[in-house]
Amino acid sequence: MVDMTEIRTHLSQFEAPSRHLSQDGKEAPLAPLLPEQSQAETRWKDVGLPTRRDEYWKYTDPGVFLNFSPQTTEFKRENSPLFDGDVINIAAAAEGFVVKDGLATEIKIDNLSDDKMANSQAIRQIYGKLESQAQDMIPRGLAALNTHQASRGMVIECPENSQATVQLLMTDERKVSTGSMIHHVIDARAGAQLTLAEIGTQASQTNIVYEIRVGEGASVHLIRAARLSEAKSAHMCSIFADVAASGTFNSFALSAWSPWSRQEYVVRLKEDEAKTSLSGAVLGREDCHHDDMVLVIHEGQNCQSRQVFKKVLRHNAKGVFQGKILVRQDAQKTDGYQISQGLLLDDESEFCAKPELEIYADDVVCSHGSTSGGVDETQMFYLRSRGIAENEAQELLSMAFLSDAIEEVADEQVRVRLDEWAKEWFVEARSCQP
Amino acid sequence: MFHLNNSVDVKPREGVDHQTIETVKNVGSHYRHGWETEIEMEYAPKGLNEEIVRLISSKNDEPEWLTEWRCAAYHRWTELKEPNWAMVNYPRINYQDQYYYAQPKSFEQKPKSLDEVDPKLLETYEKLGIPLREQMVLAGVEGAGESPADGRKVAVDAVFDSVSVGTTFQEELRRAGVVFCSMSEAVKTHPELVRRYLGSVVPMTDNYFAGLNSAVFSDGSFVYVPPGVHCPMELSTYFRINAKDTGQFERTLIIVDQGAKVSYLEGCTAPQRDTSQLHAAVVELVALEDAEIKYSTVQNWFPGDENGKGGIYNFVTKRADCRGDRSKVMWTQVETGSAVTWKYPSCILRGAGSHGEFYSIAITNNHQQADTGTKMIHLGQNSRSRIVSKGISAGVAQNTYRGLVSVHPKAKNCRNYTQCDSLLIGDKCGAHTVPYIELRNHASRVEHEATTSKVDDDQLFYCRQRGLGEEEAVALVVNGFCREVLQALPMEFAMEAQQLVAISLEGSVG
Repeated sequence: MVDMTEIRTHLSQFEAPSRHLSQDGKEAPLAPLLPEQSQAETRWKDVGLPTRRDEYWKYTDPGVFLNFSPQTTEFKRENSPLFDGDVINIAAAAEGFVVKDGLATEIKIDNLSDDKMANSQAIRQIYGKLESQAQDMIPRGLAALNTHQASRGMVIECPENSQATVQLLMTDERKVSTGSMIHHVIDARAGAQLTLAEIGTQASQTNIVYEIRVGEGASVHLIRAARLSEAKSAHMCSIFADVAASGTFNSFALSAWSPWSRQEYVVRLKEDEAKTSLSGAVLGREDCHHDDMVLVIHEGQNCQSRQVFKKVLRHNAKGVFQGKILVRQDAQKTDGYQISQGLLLDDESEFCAKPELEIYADDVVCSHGSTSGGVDETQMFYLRSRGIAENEAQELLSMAFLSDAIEEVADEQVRVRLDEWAKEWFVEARSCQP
Repeated sequence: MFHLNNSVDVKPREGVDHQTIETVKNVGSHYRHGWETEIEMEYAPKGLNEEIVRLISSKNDEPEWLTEWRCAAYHRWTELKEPNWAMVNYPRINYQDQYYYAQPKSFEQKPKSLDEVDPKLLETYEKLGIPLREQMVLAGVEGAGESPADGRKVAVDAVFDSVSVGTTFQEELRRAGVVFCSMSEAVKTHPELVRRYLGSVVPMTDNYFAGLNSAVFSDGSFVYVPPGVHCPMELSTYFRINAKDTGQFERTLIIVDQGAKVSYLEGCTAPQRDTSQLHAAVVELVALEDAEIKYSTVQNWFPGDENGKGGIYNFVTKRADCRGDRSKVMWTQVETGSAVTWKYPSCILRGAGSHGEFYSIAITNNHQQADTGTKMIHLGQNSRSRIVSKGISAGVAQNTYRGLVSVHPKAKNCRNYTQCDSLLIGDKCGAHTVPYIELRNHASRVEHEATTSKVDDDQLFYCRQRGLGEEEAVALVVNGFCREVLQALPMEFAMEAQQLVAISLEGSVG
C-alpha cells in the first residue's frame, strides 16, 4: 500500500509545476502536461516510494531524500565551463531551458513544457516508455513519480548523422526553497553524435530523469559534473538508455560536492554490436553518502559493456555501489566488465558494494571485481621516503586511484578539467579537516 | 515450476563436443544411489503441531528443557516467513503433508551396538560404500580396529531417516577424549555441553528452515574435542533419506576446545522418487582459542530426473562461530545433488586473528537449482577469510553464488579475498553471482573477483598449439577450473568428489 500522506509531504517539497497552479494560487488538481504523464501516475502509485526494506535501497536510506527540507539555494561557486569553443550553451531557468549561444542548427532543442510537445514524435516514443519498461525488474518509484510530475526538461532531437556538443549550465536562479523535478528526453537518430555535459549548481533537492534513445550507429556521451556548494542537499538522478545496433552510450559522473546523491542507470543494449561505458568518480567527505546503482541489460549479440566506479571516502563518508550485468539468453558473445573500488582514507568511512552477474547465455566473457581498503602502505612509504608530505602523498595516490574512472572520458580537454576539479576538492578538504 | 518437456535442445558450443553434453546430461539421470531399502518403518503421524514436536522429543527420551526449547522453536517458527529472496523456484511446500519422524521398526528397542542392528540397514550402508564395520577406509588395507602405522581411519555416524544407526570407532575416540556420538545420545551423556552450545550459533529464530529444524530435529552428530587434542581420525556422518514423504532434519553440533583439531566429513544420498522431499539441517560449529575445524561435505542427494521431477529440497543452515583467538574453520563443499539447494555455510570471525575459509564446487544440471555461497563476518581484529567458489551449470539449471563479506568498524587489519568463477555448458542454463561487500574501516582490505565464461578459446588454442588433442585440451582446462577446491578436500573425500565432478566433465576429458 502506498502511503499517500507521506507522498504528499514529499511532493510538497518540490516546485509546483507552473501550469498546475490555479489562478488564485490555491492547490489545483494536478493536470499533467502530457498524456504520457497521466499514465505514470498509476505506475508510481503501484510501485510506491522506496523504503529501507527494498533490496536495492539496502545500503542507502531513502528517508533522507524523501524527508529532505529544501534549502534556499545560494551560489558561491563560479561556474567554469567544461567545454570551450564550438558548443551549444544552455542555461536552466525557472521557466525552462534557454539556449544562450551556439544556437542549434543541426539539432532541435525544445522545452518539455512547450505546448507543441504533446504532439512531438520524440515524446510519443520515448517519454515515460524507457522508464516504465525498467520498472518490471526493480521498482523505481521516484523515477515514475518524476515522469508524472516533471514540469521542466529538455527535449533534444538529433537528426540522422548530425553532430553536436551541448553544455547545460544548471543555475537555478530562483533561490526559493523547493526541490526540482526535471525530465530530459534525448533522441539520437541513426549515425547522430551528441555530447551532453551537465554542469553547474543544482537546486538543493533534485529528482532528475534522463530518457535517452540511441539509434543505429549513433553515439551519446553524457557527462555530469555538478559542483555544489550547499552544505545540505539531496540529489537523485535516473538515467534510462536504449541502445540500437552499433550504437554507443557513454556516461561519466563526477560527484564531489553533493552530501547525498544516488544515480540509477538502466542501459539496455537492445541490438547487436551495441556498446556502453558507465563510469563515475566520487569524492566524499563529511557524512557524504554516494550511491551508484547500475543495471546493464545485454539483449543483442556481440555487445560490450564497461563499468568503472571509483570512490574516495573520508570523514564519515559512505560510498555504495550496486551494479548488475544481466545477459539474456540470446545475447551471445557478450563482453561485460565491471570494477568498483572504494578507497577509505580514515576509519569512519565505509564502502558497501553489491556487484552482480546474472547470465543466461553461455558464450560470454563477463567479469567483475571489487576491492576496498585504505591507502597502500608500500606506495605511501615510497612517496614519503622521497620527501613528500603525508597528506600530499595521500592526495597523489587518491588522484591516481580516481584516474581510472576519469580515463573513461574520451575528450582529453574534458579529462584535464575534471582532474582539476577533483584536485580542487582535495584543496578544500585539506582546509576544512575536522 | 518445472518444465516437463523432455526435448530440451542444448546447442553445443565450440570446444564442447556432443559427448560432453551427453555425459553431463547423465549426471542427473544416472543417479547411482537412487535405490530404496525395503524396510518396515514406523512414522509419527503426518503434519506438524506441538504434539508432534513433543512426540519426537519423547521418542528420544529428552529432558524437559529440550522439549520446551523445541516447543518454543515451533511457536516462533509459525510466526516466521519462508524466505523468497533466493534465485530458486519451487512449488509451495505443504508442511502439513509430510512425516517429521520416521525410524526403522527394529529401532523400537534401540540396538546397543552395531551387531544388534538390522542387517538390512547395514547392507544399505555397505551398498553405499560406507564402512560401518570398523575397518580401514583405503582399499587394500584389511582388518578392523587395529591399524597399521600408515593407515587412515574414519569414524562414521550413520543417520538413516530420523535415527542414527550407529557410530563406529567410539571406543578408540573415547581413549583420546573425543566425544563422537549421535545427538540423541549426547543429550543423555553430555547434557551440559549440549545445553550450553545448542542454538548458540544458529538461534532458533535465525531463519525459517533453522526454526523448523529446531522444532523437529530428530538426530544428527555431536562432536566434542577436548583442549589440546588432535582428533586421531577423520570423523564423518553419512545421511541417508529412505522413507517416502519424509523430511530429514538432522542437527550437528561440533565443539572444538582450545588448541584442539578435527576434520569432519559429511555425505548424503537419497532414493530416486518422483516426489520432492525436504531436507532442512542445521550445523553449528564452535571453535575456541587456537582450535581448528575442517568441515567437508559431498552432497549427492537425489537431484530429480532429467525433467525436474522429484529430488531433494536441500535447505540447510550451516554456521561456524570462531569464538577463540586464532581459531580456524574451513568449509569445503561439493554440491552435485538436490533439486533445489539453499545453503550458505558461514563463519563468524569473532576471535582476533581468526581464520575462515570456504571452498565450493556447485554443479547443477537438468532442472537443478542452486543458490549457495557463504558469509564471512569479520568482528575480530586481524581476522582473515578466503572464499573460492566454482559454479558449473548445464542443461536448464540455474546456479547462483550468493555471499556476504562484512568487516566491522572495530575489526582492524582484516583481509578477505573472494573468487567466484562460473562455467556455462549449453545455452539454456544460467549462472549468477550476487556478492555483498561491506567494509567499515580503512585498515582492512576486501577483494572480490568473479568471472563467467565458457571453456576459454585462448587456453584451448595454447594447449592445441603444443600438440594436445582437442579433448585433452578441454580436459586440462576444465579440470584446472575445479582444482583449487578439490585440493582443499581431505583425501577420502577428494576421491569421491573427483569422481562426481569427473562424471559431469568426462565428455570434455575425452
